[in-house]
Amino acid sequence: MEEYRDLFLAEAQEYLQNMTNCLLELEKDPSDNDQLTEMFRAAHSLKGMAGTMGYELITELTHDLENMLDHLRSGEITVGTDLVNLLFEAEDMIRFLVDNLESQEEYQGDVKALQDKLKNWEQFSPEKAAEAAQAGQVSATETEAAEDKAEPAAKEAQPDGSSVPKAEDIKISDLLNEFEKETLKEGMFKGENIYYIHVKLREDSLLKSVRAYMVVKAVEAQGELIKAIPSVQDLEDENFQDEFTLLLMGNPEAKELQSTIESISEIDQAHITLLDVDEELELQRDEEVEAAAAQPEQKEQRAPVEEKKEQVGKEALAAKAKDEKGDEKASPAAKKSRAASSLNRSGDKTVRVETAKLDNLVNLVGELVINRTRVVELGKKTEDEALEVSLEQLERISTDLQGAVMTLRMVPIKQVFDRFPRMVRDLSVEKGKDVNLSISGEETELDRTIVNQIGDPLVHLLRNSVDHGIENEEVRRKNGKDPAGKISLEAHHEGSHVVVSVEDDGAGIEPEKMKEKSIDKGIISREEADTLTDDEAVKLIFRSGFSTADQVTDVSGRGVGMDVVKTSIESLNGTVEVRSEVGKGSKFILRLPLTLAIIRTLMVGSAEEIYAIPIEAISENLFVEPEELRTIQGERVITLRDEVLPIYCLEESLGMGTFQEKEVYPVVVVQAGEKKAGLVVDELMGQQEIVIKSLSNFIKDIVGVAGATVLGDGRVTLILDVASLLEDGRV
Amino acid sequence: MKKQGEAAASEVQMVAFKLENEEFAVDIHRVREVLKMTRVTPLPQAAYFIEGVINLRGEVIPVVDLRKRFDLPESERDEDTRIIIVEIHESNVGLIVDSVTEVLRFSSAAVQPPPSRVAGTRTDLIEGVGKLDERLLIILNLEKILTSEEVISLDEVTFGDQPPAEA
Repeated sequence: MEEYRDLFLAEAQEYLQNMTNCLLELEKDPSDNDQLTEMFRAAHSLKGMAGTMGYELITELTHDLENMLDHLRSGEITVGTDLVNLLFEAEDMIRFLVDNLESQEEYQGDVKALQDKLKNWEQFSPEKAAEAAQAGQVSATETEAAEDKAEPAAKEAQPDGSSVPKAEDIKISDLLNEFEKETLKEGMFKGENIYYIHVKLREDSLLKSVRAYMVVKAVEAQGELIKAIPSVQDLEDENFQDEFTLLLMGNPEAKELQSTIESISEIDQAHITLLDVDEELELQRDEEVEAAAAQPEQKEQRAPVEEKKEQVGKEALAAKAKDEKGDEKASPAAKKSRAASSLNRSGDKTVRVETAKLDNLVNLVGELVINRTRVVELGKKTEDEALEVSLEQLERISTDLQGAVMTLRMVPIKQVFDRFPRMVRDLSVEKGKDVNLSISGEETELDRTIVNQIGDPLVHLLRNSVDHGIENEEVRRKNGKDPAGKISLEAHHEGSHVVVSVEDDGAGIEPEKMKEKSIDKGIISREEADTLTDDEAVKLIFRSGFSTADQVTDVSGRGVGMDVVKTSIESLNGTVEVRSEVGKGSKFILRLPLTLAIIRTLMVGSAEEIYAIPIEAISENLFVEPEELRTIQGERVITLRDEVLPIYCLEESLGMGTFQEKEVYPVVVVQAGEKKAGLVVDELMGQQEIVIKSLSNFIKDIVGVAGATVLGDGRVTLILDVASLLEDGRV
Repeated sequence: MKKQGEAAASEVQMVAFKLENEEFAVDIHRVREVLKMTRVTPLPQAAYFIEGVINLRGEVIPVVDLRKRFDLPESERDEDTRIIIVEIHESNVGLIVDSVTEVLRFSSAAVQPPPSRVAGTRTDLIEGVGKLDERLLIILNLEKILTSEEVISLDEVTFGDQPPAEA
């Protein structure tokens, strides 16, 4: 049975995610029977699987869940927030059990308690549901421990505040039910603000419902309307005097929002307070949550709640002590699993395929493409027209096949980006800074293998931005900046590359400071430092052993970060660049090829071997006469259109031979990042598309060699790693 | 020559090869293939004993010259020279040897750990010793030998003229 465990886990996750999505949709639209049916189906399948695997607890629980859904389907009970909450609870518990297959038995008690609640389905019958909804509190599940308090940021001080409840008096829990609280929590993870909007209509207003409706619409355009008091329904039925309150979640400018609302005719005034909702809202998370900006003094760290956590962000919090906070009242599963990524509902449109099979397919197609090239070459030699036509078709079809297979490996970068909001949030809280992360272009697709490897460098860049880039609030205010720091993470396609950038509006990188630190660390000499331009000084950040942090924090500052980022990206055949302006911020730009497996190369001969140079690294080819070769300080150079170009003999650089005098030197001008040089070879042999084969672990770290390929005739040809060749120059 | 195995019992099959007249053996389960010498693409600046890489049906495999590894003088590669593809740490490596003699069956009793101390011999580089009539085949600790960076001479992995004392 154990061999099926992985399969079970993978499928269970899918079903659970499916159920979550359905449940969310169902809550928005209780009449949507499709959601209900789908959810039922998912639960049923999950039950079957769990039963086959022998996981009794899961099977039973899912069975009870299924029952509930059945009662829903038959109309015996109706959808209400309490029911939905209970269903979510059940789902969380199932998910928790799935994540903890080994120790399932320990949770029998909790499961039993939950099952009892599920068995008590009649409480959700329409009559009972109406009663429960009124109170807005679910009795059985959680005990409300502390008082809920919300403190305002008090951005707009309104002189006439008489009818406006003081923000301190606002008790969020009194206003919201469980689901609304959950939605708030979700939003706060994502760094959204909560606005308490109190609107007063003119007393003589005639069309109150219309005006209210217009306000609601205006507000909804700026974010998510969490709650209306009285409810939207009542507003539309004019069941109110001339005041109402809205709770908005989003990130609009408060002033703008206010003027937008007040500009609606017959609105007397709108009072907007930014809510600082804290843990007393019983958020079962690890640290205090705060709304943006104005309340630095409310940053007390509270003892976090013990909880199942995702890997990301763990390191930042690992040091903190964790207390149990009333664990009996919380379902152990991470409630935020609900808030997590919105995976597309797979349904029947996808097939699960082992990555090994996919890789194999890609490999085979790669080989096919190589051989096709060869066949086409040979075909050209014969003058057979029929053959030529067939070959052309063959070429076209295999190119299409190649394209199609390449897309199999492409996945959206979203999977990597998804974990960052939480991470940045946790980190910014830890550092006591206010940082907003904005993400765009997450649907940009790249090769699966690259996606796997780009995570760590990005984590590092983001951490760096939060830790070193973004200044703390005081400094920011003093410099007239928004107290909340801004980091943008962006991805888009550019030709045959994917460009990912991390930009912050922080302190920027100071060239002078870089130079000083580098000299201190012995990375460069003073003389060298003096010759550097500002741009070059900024780039010192990529040298190993570098870190300007005065203290090593557990997040960054050990001086191993940026150079590792650079090498990781370069090992993916990509490049990393930095642009920075002191006081304004920094931008790190990563450029990665769309795919790893097949590249176009130029074949060159050198010392009786053939080498492949990736076309992307080549800027031009030349033939150099002996007279053009000069020497400067013992290094060979030529002048190329006003530029001095260092010349290396490929044989020498690889340690395979020495420079030989010739009548004319074929030179390949290569470039990696900012470095440029000319490589002298014996022969230029033409372009070829090749399949990259990785070198075994045994010999992975050979300087100058990026991989190998097999040519049509079976021989192994090495692919040159231009970046490392230019690093060392002549070895 | 094969020795008739004793009643059932476990048998170990080994591939025997020669280096400068010394006989060695490798467990057959680790041997993927034995090839004739073929064109090897040199690897710039790899360790001195790495001959280069070869193509084995689409897989690029590094090849080690065992003679170089054991500091033996270079000799002519001839008809008998072979490349033994072995599995080490989950990847494949080729070993260039003077010749591959045969596949031998040893009863597990005939395979013993190396003696603890023999002068001039790096017993840490030897996994075991197989006895077959008068022959003594040395089973090398390939992982160590191939990953170590120090120079190892052939003497250090053989027992000279003395058969080792029983462990």
